[in-house]
Amino acid sequence: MKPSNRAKSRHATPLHSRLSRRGFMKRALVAGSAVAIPHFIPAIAMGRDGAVAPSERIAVGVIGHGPRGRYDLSVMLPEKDVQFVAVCDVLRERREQAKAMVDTHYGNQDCPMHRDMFEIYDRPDIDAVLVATGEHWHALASILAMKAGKDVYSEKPCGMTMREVQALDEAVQRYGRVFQAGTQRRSQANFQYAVTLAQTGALGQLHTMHASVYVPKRRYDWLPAQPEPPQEVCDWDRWLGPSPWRPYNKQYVLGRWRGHYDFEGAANFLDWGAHTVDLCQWANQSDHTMPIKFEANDKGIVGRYANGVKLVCDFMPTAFGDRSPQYKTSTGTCPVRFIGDEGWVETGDNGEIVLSDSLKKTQQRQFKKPGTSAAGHGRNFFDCVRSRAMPVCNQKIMRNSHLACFAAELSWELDRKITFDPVQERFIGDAEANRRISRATREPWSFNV
Amino acid sequence: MFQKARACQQLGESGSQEAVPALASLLSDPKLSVYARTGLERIPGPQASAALRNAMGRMRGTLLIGVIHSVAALRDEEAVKALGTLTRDSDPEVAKAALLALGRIANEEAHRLVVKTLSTGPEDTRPEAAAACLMAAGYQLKQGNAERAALLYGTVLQARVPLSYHLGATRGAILSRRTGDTSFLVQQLRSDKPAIRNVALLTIRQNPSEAFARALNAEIDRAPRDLQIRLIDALTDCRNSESLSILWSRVASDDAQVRIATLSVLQAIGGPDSAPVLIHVLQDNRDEETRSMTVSILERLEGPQVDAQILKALSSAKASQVRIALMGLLGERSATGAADELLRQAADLDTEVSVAAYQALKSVARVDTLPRLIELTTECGDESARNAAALAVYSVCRHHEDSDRSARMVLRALETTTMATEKMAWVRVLALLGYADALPAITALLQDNNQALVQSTISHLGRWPDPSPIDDLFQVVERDASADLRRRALLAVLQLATASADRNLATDDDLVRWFKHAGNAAQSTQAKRLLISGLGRVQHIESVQLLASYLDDATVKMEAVNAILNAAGPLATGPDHATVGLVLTRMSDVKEPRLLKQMATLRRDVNTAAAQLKQ
Repeated sequence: MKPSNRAKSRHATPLHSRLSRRGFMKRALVAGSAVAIPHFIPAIAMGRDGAVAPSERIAVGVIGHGPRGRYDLSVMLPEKDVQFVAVCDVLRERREQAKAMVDTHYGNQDCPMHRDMFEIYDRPDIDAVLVATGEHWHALASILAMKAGKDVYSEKPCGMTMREVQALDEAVQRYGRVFQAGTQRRSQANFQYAVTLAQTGALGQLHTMHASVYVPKRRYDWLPAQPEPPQEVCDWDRWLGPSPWRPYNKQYVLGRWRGHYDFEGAANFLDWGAHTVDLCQWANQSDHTMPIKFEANDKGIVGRYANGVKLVCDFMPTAFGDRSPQYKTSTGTCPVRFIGDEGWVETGDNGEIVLSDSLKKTQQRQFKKPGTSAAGHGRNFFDCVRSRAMPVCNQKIMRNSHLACFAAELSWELDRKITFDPVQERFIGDAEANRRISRATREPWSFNV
Repeated sequence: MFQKARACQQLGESGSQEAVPALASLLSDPKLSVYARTGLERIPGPQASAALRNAMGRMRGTLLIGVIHSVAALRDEEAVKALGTLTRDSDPEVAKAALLALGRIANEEAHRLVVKTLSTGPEDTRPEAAAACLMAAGYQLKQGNAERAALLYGTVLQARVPLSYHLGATRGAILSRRTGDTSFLVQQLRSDKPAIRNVALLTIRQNPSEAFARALNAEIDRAPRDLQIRLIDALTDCRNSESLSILWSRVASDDAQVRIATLSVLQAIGGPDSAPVLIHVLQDNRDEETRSMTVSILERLEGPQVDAQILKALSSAKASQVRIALMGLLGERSATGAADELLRQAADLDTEVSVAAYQALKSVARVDTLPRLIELTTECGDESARNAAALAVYSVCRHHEDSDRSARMVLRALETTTMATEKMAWVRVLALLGYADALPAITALLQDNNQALVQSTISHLGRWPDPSPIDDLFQVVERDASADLRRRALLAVLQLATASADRNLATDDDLVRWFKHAGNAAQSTQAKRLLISGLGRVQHIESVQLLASYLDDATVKMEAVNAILNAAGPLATGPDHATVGLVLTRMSDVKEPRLLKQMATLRRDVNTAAAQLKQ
């Protein structure tokens, strides 16, 4: 039986109290790494010392080149043991932009463009794919890639429904692949440090965690129909993929799919929640489970773990602006706060660590790098592609943190308390909630592959 | 169309079996079929499943595929027979969908049908049959039916299907033998196909077990070197009580890559019991990377027994580099029990060893070692060792609860020594401590005949934590015969005054007086710049006036402008606004936009203050 979080905290506190600040910092960071970050043999031991022969490089294809895909590509292109060998998008304009990025980086004209992701799956020279499509394609594009023998880095949210993330986890296992969810804040030093304080008992016994999320919102309407462009310019049928049919409108493919029920799961909750709830899961050492009760109110959604720890998902109307009283405005976007009976820590995307007065003298640290870069997270993925270890946001971690988000949002959607069984992954005695675990996929697509 | 689509979705959320016929009627609509299936998949009860089953008999092509997927989503066992028929459909895409649905339903009959297709079915549907088989096997494994799962995985391994299915089956086959015979795992780890070795490694890393750990330990011994490195790395995730000894036996390997790989794993999983072997690695005095990794691990291992083992190794170590590394460790670990041994090492004739000992003593030494530490400092023949020793003395004094008591011991050492080098060391310590009682003895040294000692004393007085020595330094500035000493003393004065301004250790009047006094002697550009920099910190009208006198000096004009803008800020709105205004008019030739902007703000404040005064 796994020890409860309370038991772990009780153990951790006296250990911490014996250590000097310096000693604690060292051990805390090691503890953080041991818990969260797979350990890797240095490149030199693998025969790599920076310069990697082309035949030894990890060949990667990228599917989806909207703003996020281009960002991911830009921060991962510099990896010396990785070669980006294909770009794919249903929009010609985006394919061409991505090809230009890759070709400019490598100083050649070699990068092939693909409209159809199956052309990437069929290429035996490709080891891994980066999935950065619209949200409604994340799970299926990842599953199909793994079925074709590729390792996958998928942007978050990794699925639109509970069933999609379950199917994704099953596929990772079924085909024996390496999977990393793009919840890159786990690879950021400031978030790692905050989590380490929570896990090692520096906050005392952890009792409440705050995760910032957007105010949930969704729309069901269809934008006005427009003439479909030629398939080569924009492949609308492929863009829709597993989502239900609706008439073409250019705004969708340019990014205004957000908020639409058919293209975005959980009413936008996972936009930040996939990060912030995930960080709370980690801080509470709950990667193997999730909260069991959820109830929404005007200000947010309150969840409770079986060990009694409270997860408060605070609604943020906008990405910026005044965050008080839940958070310090200065910590930036995606703030989280972990509260124990001896103190609290808060951090966010600007890297700042804010501590309760009780901890300021002993635990204050500065992290100058903003907490948003995906470069380190990508590096973790590539290391795992080589070592076959589990990435920091592997499919199991993703599954539970995403399920927690979906369940939380559902309590808002149903506007009542709901109870979840993390083992069976069903809502207890709640047919109404259980009906919303999955959606049908448009033929011929299916997650059952 | 939209209303119908939305209604289907809403029926899926709250509709009952009465809605089934209406939804079923839309299954043949190419645009609405998916909406209808969303409704049907979500409505509880057998009616929806029956409607979908019935639809399978009358649909064709893509719409039929959609219905089959919905049947699979509902895991409708009653559909198995019909699906079996569809696995032989003339449309291969329909056959593939049917196979996958059978894989999802995963009952006995479904197994039989997919296995049959995998073994004897058409070539183009075999991959889907393999996928279905993997799906069904995964389901069985989850249900605890390992033997049944193993059979299904075995069927995929025998089939002629693409490698990705074999990899999935290899993983499953290893897992279905997770608690028993590991010969299959070992066979995969020895495969000549990298992809198979990779999936075997991934499987044991993701699903560690005692049996896997045993197999992994054994395999490390016989694996070729490159694979051995990867197997060692896998111990990070999959290990048992014997794995550490495997690592210990390789940590001193002659092969650098094996050694680094092993250390890397120990860094992640090693505990205090790894200390002896790591210390041994240090004693072997290998390459720099090995040494730094070993040190890094030892620094983090917890427990007093680790300190004791390092200490023991130090007392018997011969090589200087080893001793230096061990002492560095003791210092980093703040191993207070090591003070005596470090004092012994500090007396070593090898300067590098001696310096390392003193550096470690900075965090290790207690106040009761101070007399010996002072004694050793006086015995130091080498300047770098003496400096290190002095810093260790300072560290002990600073951390002692009764720092005056320990500082008195240092003062006594200063007063009793006749050696200039020792005096310099003690002055440094006392100045760092800012021990006021030592000031007379130290300032007395400003009259010493030894030029180097006076230079050093001036330099340390310039770093005194408060402005107490400033008058003595002014005396040197004004009276000393040596131009070099006068110059040094002036710089020390400016340093002290500036630090006092920064730390609010003196009144504005005192600061202005000191800077004014120093200004008489500040002739070099360096001295003028220091003076202007210090004055810029003092927001006093005399400071502004003094600074204005440098506006005509081309070598420091811009520094003066910047300093004036800093010092004059709050004065522009007060009774001295007119003086500030006059000074601003003397800066009219400034061109830099940033400065012009600041000047405009100041001028506006001055004008506002003047207008208010008129009112």
